[in-house]
Amino acid sequence: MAEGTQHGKTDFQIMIKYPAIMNRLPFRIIAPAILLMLLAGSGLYMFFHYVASDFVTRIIKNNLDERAADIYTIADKNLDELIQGGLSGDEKAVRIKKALTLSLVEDAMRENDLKGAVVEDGKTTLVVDELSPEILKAKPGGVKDNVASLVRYQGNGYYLYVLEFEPWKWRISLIKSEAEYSALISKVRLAYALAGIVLLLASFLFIYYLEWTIQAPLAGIISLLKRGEKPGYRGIHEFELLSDNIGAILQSLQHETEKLNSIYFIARSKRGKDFFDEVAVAIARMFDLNTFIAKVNPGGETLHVISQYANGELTGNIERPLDGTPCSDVMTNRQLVVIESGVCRNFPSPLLEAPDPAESYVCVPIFDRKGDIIGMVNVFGKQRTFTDADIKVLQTIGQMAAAEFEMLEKTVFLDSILHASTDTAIVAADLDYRVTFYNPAAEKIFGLKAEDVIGKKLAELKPMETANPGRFQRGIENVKSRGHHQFSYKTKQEGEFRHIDARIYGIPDEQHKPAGFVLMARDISDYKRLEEQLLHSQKLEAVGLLAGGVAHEFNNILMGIMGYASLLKNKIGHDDPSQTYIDNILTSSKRAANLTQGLLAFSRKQNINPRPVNINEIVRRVEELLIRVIGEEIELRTLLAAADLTVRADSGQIEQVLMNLATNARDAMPHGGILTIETGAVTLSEEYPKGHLRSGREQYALISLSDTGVGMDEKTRERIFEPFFTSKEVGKGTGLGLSIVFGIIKQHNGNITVYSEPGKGTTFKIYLPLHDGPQTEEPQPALLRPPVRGTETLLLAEDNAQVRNLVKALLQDAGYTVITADSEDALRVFEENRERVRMLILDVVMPKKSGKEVYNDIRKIRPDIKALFMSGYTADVVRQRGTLEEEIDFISKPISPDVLLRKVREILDR
Amino acid sequence: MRSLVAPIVWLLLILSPLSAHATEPITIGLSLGLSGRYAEMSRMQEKSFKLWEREINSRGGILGRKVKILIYDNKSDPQTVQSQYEHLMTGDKVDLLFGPYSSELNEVVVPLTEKYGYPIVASGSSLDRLWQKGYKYLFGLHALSSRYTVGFLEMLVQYDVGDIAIAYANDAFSQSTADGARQWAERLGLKILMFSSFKRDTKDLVEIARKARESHAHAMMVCGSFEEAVAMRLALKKTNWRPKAYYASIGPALQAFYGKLGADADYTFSSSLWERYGKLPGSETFYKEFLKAYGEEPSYHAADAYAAGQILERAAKKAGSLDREKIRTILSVMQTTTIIGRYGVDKTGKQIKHFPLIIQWQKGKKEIVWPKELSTAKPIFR
Repeated sequence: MAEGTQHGKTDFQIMIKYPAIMNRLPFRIIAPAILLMLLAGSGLYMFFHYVASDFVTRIIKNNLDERAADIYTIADKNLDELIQGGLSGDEKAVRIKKALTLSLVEDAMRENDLKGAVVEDGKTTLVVDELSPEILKAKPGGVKDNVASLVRYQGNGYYLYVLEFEPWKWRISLIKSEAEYSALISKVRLAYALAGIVLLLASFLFIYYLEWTIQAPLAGIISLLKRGEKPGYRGIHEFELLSDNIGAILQSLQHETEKLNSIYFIARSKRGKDFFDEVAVAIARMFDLNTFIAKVNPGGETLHVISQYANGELTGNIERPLDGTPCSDVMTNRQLVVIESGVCRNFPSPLLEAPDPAESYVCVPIFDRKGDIIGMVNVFGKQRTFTDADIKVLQTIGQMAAAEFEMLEKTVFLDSILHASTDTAIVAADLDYRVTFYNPAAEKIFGLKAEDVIGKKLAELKPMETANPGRFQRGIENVKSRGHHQFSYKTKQEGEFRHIDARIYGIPDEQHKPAGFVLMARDISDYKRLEEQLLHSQKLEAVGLLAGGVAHEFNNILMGIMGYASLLKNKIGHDDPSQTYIDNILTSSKRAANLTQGLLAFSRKQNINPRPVNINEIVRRVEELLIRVIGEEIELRTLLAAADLTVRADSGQIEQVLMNLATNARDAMPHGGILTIETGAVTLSEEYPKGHLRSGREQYALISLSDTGVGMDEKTRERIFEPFFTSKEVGKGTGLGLSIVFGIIKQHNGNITVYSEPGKGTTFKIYLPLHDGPQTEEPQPALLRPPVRGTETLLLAEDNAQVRNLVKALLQDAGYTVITADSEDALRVFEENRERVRMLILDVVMPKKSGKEVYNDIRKIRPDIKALFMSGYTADVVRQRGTLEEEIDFISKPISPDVLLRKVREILDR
Repeated sequence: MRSLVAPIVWLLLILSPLSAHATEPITIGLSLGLSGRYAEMSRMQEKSFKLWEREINSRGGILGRKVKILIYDNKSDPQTVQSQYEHLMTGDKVDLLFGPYSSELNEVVVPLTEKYGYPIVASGSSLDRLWQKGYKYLFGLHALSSRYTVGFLEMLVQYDVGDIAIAYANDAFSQSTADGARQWAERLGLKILMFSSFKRDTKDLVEIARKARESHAHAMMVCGSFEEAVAMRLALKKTNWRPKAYYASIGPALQAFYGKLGADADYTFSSSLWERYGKLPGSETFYKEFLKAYGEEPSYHAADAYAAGQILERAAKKAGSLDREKIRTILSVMQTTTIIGRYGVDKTGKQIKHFPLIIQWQKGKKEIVWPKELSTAKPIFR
C-alpha cells in the first residue's frame, strides 16, 4: 500500500508528449486564421487592384471620350456656322473656318493636356507636341476609331483616341499620357499599401487576441498538467469549467490509481493463491468491507472460494452453494450485482453472515476469453454506497483475477505436458546455467532427482558432468552463437551402456533476447541396436551377392571339369590305372560343386522347392540325425509347439539349417552340454524392424536353438554369418555353415537372430512366415535310375562354346544326334532340320537372344516341341525374373551328366 | 464712469496698430521700362495704372482700403527688372504686383513672382511659351502672340491677296508671332515665299525688304518692335516696293506710328489688343478719361494696364482679402469682361477668351478692319 502511494505521485504526472507542430493549438487555430486573413487580404488586394486599376483606366478613357466629344463638337459647331452662314460653298470661307476650327481644336487639346494631330485627307494639318507623330506610329493602324486604347512609347503609356470628322475628312488623333494620372495612380497605390498595412495590423491584433484569449489560458492549464498539478485557471468561463473538470477528474483518477496501484503491486509480485489472498485483503481494506474471491465450479452450481477476508481473518478453499445467494443472479444475468443495503434479508446465506448480517454487497463476475463466467469478486458488509469509481476498481480487479486464472490454467497445462513426456528429458536452465526445470523423464535418463538438481548449476551436477566433461557447457556456448546444438554420447547406467541423444535450444524472452536454455535428451539405445542390426544384414547381403556371382561363373568351369572327366572315365577301361586319378578329379570336383552350392545357398541363389510344411514335422524328422551329429556328450531337448506350424519351405533346406546349427552348437560345447530346440508361433509387433523380414506378415513360426556352450563376444557375433568367417581351428570348418543357414532363411523370407555372450551360451532364433493354406504331401524322391541312352535328334542352343561342346559330347556319347546352334541362328537351324529335331535344349541366359525367345519362335512352327532349359542360376531366380513359366523343365548348372541324360530321357518319354 | 473710460482708451490704443493697418493703403508694385526699348508702351501703361489708381481710390479703394501703386523704372533692362521685383516683394513688401511690359522682361520676373507667390495678371506679355512652363501664379490678359496675325491672314484669303513674305526680329515675342503667322498661313492654305529673321533693333531693313520683294510675295509681314515696324515701312519705300499689303505686328496700333511716318503709315496693317471702337463696356469711358487726363489717346497697351487693374480689383473683392493664394485661385477660375474684352484662362493660366483686332491706317486714320462684325472700315489692298 505504502509503495502504491509512493508510486502514485509519479504516476499522476500526466505524460504529455510534445505533439507534432501540426497538432498544436497555435497551428490549428492561429495558422488557419493567418491563412484566412492572408487569403482575404490578398483577395481584397486583388479586388482593390482590379477595381482601382479599372477605375483609373475608366477615368482616363472617360476623360478621353469626353474630350473627344468636345473636340468633335467644336468642329461640328464651326461647320454648322459655316452652313448656317450660307458659306459652305465659299471655298475661302471654308478655308478660313477650317483654320479657325483647327485652332480651336488645338486650344482644346492643349487646355486638356492632350497631344495629338489632325490629318486632313492624308495631310497633317495640326500637330500638338512633337512626340505625337512618334507615339501615333507606335501603334500603326492598330487604333480603332472612337475607342481609347493604350500604347507604349519609350516606356511610357499613352491612351490613344482617334475620331473622324467626316465632313472635312479630318482624322483627329488624341493622345493622353498615362503619366498625367500618376497622382491618381499614386493615391490608389497608397490606398493599397494602407489597406495592406491595416490588414497586417489586424492580423497581428487578431493573432494576439487568439493568443491572449485561447492559447495563453490553455498553455497555463497544460503547463500545470505537465507538472502534475491540478489546474486552477480563473478567467474565461469555459476554460474555468474545463480546468475545474480536469482537476476533479485528476483527483478521482488519483484515488483510483492509488487503489489500483496497490492491486497492481500484488499482481506483479504474487502468484496463485498468494495473489488471491493479498488481493482479497487489499480489497477489504480499500472498501472497509469483507471480501471473497471465488471460482465457479464446473456445472456452475457451486463456488470454490479461493480467498476470503472477513473480520480480519483470511480463509480459503471453501466450497459454497450458489443457489439462494446474490451470486446466482450474477450467473443468470451475466452482470454485476450491486446492493447497497439489506442484502442479508433478501439472501439469508451463511456466506454473507460473517459475523454480522451483511447489508451491502457487490459481486463482479470474472469472465474468461470465451466470455464464460469463471469466477467472482465479492465485497459485502455494512451499509454503504458504491460510486462508479468503486465499481470500476472492482471490475479492474476482476479482470486481473481473470488473467491470473488464465495464467494458472496455462501453467498447469504446460506443466502437465512437460511432465507427461516419459522418454524425453526436458531440462531448462537460466543464463547462469542454473537449472530451473527438470521433468521426470530427465530423472530417468540422467539418474538425478529433481530436488537435487533444481537451482544448481549444470557444472555442479556430477553424474551429468562425469559422462561428458564440459559438454553441456560447450553446447550452451554453441547455442549462444548458433541458436541450437545437438550431440550424442554414451553413458553407463546400471552396468549397461546407454546411447543418449541431446539437443539444446535457446529460450528467448518477450523481447527475443536470450533468457535461458532448454536441454532435451532421449535414450536412443534401442534404436542404435536395431540400426546396427540393419547395417549388419545389409553387409551380409552384399557379401552374398558377390559370392553368388563367383559361384555361378565357377559352376561353368566345374561343369567342364566334371563333364570331361566323366567322358574320360567312360572312354578308358575299368581296369585302366588312370581310373583312380579320374575318380579323384571327380571327387574333388564334387566337393568344389558342394562349395559353390553352399555359396549359392548363402546368396539365396540355390534352387529350392518350397511347399507348405509343418516345422514340428521337420524337427521331429531330423531329431535322430541330429543326435548322431552332436554326439553322446550333448543332450538334445526338443520343446515343440502343440499346434502345427505350417510354413512354405523346402523341407530339405530347413533340415540343412537345423543340421548346420546343431553342428555349430556341438562345436561350441566341446565338453558337452544341452542343445534345446524349441518351436512356437509369434506375432511380431510394428516396432520390430521390418527391414529384416521380407514377407510383410505379422505371424511367424519361431525355431530357437540354444546351446550351453562357450558363447561368443560381440565382435564374433557380428560376423558369424559372413562366409568363410570362422572361430574354429583351421581345417575344422568350411566357414560356410552359418552363411548357408542365413542364405536359406533369407530365401524363405525369414529372419535369423543370435543372442550370445562369452560363457553364457548361444541362442539362434529363426522366424519363418506362417502359411495359411494346408500342408501338402511330401513327394517321394524318384528312384534313381541309371542314365538312359537314346537315338533322337536334339537341337542344342548355347552361346558358351565350352558348355555347348561338353553338353553335345555327353549327349552324343549317350547315342543322341545333336545339332548345335547359337542363339541367333537357332531358328534357322531348326527350320532346316524340323523333321528330325525332337527336342530343344536351350540356355536361358544368352547374350544375343534369350532361350525363351528362341523357344517361343520355334513354337510358332511346332507348338508341341519339347524343351529343356539350362542355366547357371537357380530356377527360382530365373522364374522370379519372369523368364520361365512354372511347368517348363529346367536344370541348373553345373550339370551332372547323369542328371542331364535322365532329364532328357524323361522329357522325351513324356 | 470716468474710471472706465481710461482703460477703454488704453485698450483702443493697444489695438490701434490693427486698425491703423486696416486703413493703410494697399500697395501694388511694378517696374516698367519707362526708358529704353519698351519706353513708348511702358509710359502708356504707367499712365493707365495711375488712372486706374485714381479711379479706384475715388471709388473707395479695394476692400475699403486705398490703393497705392509703386512704380520703378527698369530702363527696359532684364537684370534691373529682376532686382526691382525682388525688392518690391522682399523690401517694399507690397501687397500685390502688376507685371512689367514686354515678354522679355516678364520672362525674367515670373520665376521670382512664382517663388514668392505673387499672382500676376500679365498686362505686358502674350508670349506663348510663358504658359508652357507650368507657372501657377501667371495669368494671361490678352490673346497670345501666335494669334496676333490670324485676322490679317484670314483677310489675305478673303481678298485673294496672294503669297507672303515674313521677316521677324530675333526676340522671343517676335519669333513667337512669326511662328504663329506661319502656322496659320499654312492652315489657311497661304504660301510663304520668304521667312527670314533679322537682329532686333536693326535700324535698316532695306536688305530684308529687297529680299522679300525678290521673292515675288504679294504681302509683307514684319514681326518686331515699334521701331522695326517703322524701319520696314521705310525700307519698302526705299526699295520702291509696294506690296499689296504691309503688316507689322507691333507699333502701328500706336498713334505715334502715324506721327513718325505720316502718310507713309497709310495702308499699314497691324494687330491691336484694344481699340476705342471695340464697343466693349467701359471702353469709351476709359478712352475719354485717359484723353482727359493725359491729353492723348490711349493705346491698347494702356487699355491692357487698365484691364489688369480691373481684374485684380475684382479678384481681390471676390477673395474678400488680400490673401494672395485666395486671389490666385479666383484668378484661375474667374470669368469677367474688361475694357479690352473677355477674361478667362485655361488651367495653365493662358488667356483663351480674348482675341486681337486687325487695324489699318487709312488716310491718317486707324480703322478696325477685322473682325468684320467690329470693323470700322473695309481693308484696302493696293
